[in-house]
Amino acid sequence: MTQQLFVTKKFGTYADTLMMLGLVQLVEYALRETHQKRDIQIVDQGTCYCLQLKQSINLELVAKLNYTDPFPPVKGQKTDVSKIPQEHEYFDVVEVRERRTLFLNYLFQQKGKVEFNEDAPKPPHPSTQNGVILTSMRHDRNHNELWFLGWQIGENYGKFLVALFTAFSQETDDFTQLVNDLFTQATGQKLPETASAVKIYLPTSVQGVNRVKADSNKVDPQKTDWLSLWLIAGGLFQFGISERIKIAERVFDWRVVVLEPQDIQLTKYREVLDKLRQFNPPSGGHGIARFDAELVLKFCQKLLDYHQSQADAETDEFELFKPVNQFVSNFIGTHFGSKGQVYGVKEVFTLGLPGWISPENQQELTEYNQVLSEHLSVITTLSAEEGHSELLAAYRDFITGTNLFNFFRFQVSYADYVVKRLADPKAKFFPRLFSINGLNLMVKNFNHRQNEKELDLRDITEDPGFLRIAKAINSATVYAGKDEHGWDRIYGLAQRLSSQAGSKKDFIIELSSFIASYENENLRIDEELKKKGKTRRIWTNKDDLDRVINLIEEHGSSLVANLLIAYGYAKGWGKSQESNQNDTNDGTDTELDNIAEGETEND
Amino acid sequence: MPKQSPKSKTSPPSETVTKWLTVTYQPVSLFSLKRSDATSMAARSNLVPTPYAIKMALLKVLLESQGRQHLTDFDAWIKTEFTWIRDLIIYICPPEKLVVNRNGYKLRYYDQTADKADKTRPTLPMQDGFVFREWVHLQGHLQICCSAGNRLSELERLFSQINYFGKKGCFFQYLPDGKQETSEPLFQPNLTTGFTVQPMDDLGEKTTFNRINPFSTDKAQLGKDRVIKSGFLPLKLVATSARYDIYHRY
Repeated sequence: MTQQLFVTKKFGTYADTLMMLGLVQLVEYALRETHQKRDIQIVDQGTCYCLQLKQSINLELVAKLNYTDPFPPVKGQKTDVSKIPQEHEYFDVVEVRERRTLFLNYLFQQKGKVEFNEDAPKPPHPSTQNGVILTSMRHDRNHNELWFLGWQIGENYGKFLVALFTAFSQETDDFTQLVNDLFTQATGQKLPETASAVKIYLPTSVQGVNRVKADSNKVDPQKTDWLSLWLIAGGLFQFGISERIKIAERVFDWRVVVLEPQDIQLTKYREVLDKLRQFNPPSGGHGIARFDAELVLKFCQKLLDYHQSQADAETDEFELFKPVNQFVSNFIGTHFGSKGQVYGVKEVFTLGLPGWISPENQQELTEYNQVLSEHLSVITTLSAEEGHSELLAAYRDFITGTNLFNFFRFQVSYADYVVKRLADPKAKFFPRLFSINGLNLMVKNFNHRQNEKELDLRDITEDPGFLRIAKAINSATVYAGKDEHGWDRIYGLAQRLSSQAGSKKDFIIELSSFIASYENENLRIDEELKKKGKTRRIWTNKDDLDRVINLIEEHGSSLVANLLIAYGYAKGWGKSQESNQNDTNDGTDTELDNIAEGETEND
Repeated sequence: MPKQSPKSKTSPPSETVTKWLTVTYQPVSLFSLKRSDATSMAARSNLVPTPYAIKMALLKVLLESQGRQHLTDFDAWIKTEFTWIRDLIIYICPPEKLVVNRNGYKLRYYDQTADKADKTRPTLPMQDGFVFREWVHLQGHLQICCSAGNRLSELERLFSQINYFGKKGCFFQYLPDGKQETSEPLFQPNLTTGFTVQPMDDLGEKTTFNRINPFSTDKAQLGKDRVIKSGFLPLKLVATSARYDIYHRY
């Protein structure tokens, strides 16, 4: 009975995932060719991956299968292809790369909107960059050698697959030996033994000192069994995400990541990944942090799009409305740093996924998609080349972690960047802002633990006093400064408030001093604004300050300060106020109400 | 749930194993210990010291403190001492919180190709490059539970002298008040709560002192003298990003 296959994690890097993916595509191929049910669920069980099939594989049918490439041999400009049989097709890296460049240029001109008309270039192969990295890192020879040894199995390929599936259906540590034994039993032949463990496949086993006994500093090339490497090579080529990352002028590194499945169907995994790699890959031209951030955001977008299409098709909705990191847990990757002619392993890392993206119905699917587009539009205006590395790194820490506090860290620096940018007459475009609706959706899923009880952040963000003071911050910073408004902009407020946020007393002093100067300004300009019929500023009152001080007493100054900054520097105040008026009349006032209130107080 | 040493599954504890000693350390600097399956250029770190590293630390303090007294009967003395240290069953309980920091270093290292090309050069050729290192911040106390047998006081004395595990300079402060003697291991393996897998290496059942002694020509073999098995640590990955991982203990 082969209904479950187990792939033990033994490398502790992305090689584990890649090996499992190499196997899963063979299983899928065997099921497809023998017309068996193809549903495969990939489940991460901690120590191993489990490939759960709908029905047991009929191994007798599999044994009759002929050879097919699990991955093609690659050919770059300088690849030696003398070993590849002439009639055999190979992956022409030069050609596919040109096709990709053409498509990405088209995408850039169309501003990301793909139209499938006659003039549009064909979308590139999803694995284009995986072929390019193999030639770029000079691993094409190793890759082709692995392929060649696999190809030589030839007529016994069906029996090889049977041996493979049988061995992996048993939870064994040494599957290589088992596959070898089973294969030899069935055919009388032997499988290839070892191959070079090059860094792209096994990033921690690069050439270097690794001895059982510390008796020499001899640097040996590492060897591993052919079977593991052959599976890893297949997984990497078909499912990896590789990108060339610009580090400095004419210096490019490579970053390779693989999506770690948690509990997901293979068809879904493949479709989401292929769409990402083919139609909307994260850009590598603006530094590492931007690539990571784009990768996570765009992946989440594609996953939600997939869920949207599933929800439209009325499939089991129960399966769809879960946090994104329930399906896949994270991205595991390796950064290959350029050392001139060659590349070295610079980092082995993981990127978490935002668990707060957790739509509960179809409406929320759309809303979360909007939030993702909003975030994407913010970070695509930032670039390492223009000196935004710190901002991007802060954002990357937020989106790849699961803690809202990391968002505040980014937002404080970004708020001041926004104001600086607004004041710059030479700036090419208006800085992008996060919307209040987006923030509301984000804080919804962050439960803050305080004094042994769970606190819903909405207790703070829906407080009328909090909202009015946040709006005052907004009108004194982001909204201010234009001549037609008639009042000056305050600079560095986010930094000042945040730097005092460590202590309740200091923060209240800083906030009060802002409100005092704000009200002073209000007194000075209000008459004039009224005369000229211009939009007037919100008046804050004692009650608002009392409420915020209460919130600070209850929840601490740091949290309230961060939220005030996040909301104060957001966009959409007009909109949310109107919708609030429609929904409730509980004290969150419209612009008109504010003015009326201001007048009465003034009188 | 602590890591179970591979031997504890296969060989029943000998009759002398009646007592378990649990010692506690306060980490006082960042910790790093290259995983035994990684190479020096891409050295991922273990999260906590492995039984192999702990036994090596014990051996180090043993040799440093008592080695000089056994200059004449060194071979016989080290044979018995090494045997009981080798056969220790070790469980490890990680601290409450761990943060793995990922770093890249620029450094100069041995250039093998240049050395092979010109054997006559008087100096060792070096080349520029970078290496990958992970440093782990441990918050809380590290506990090690050990089968002490009839060597309890000796073992305790050795543990109290250890001031680092793993890479040189990864200092730990021994806490005398955290010492406990029990008849059963203080931590019991519990796989139901969830775990993080870490490859744990240990000394092989039949290895000898000379096989692990760098100054001896005896060869050490992977799988026989140094055994690597999966260890399960009661840790949960709570956040991860390009530069760090945060783990909390279950």
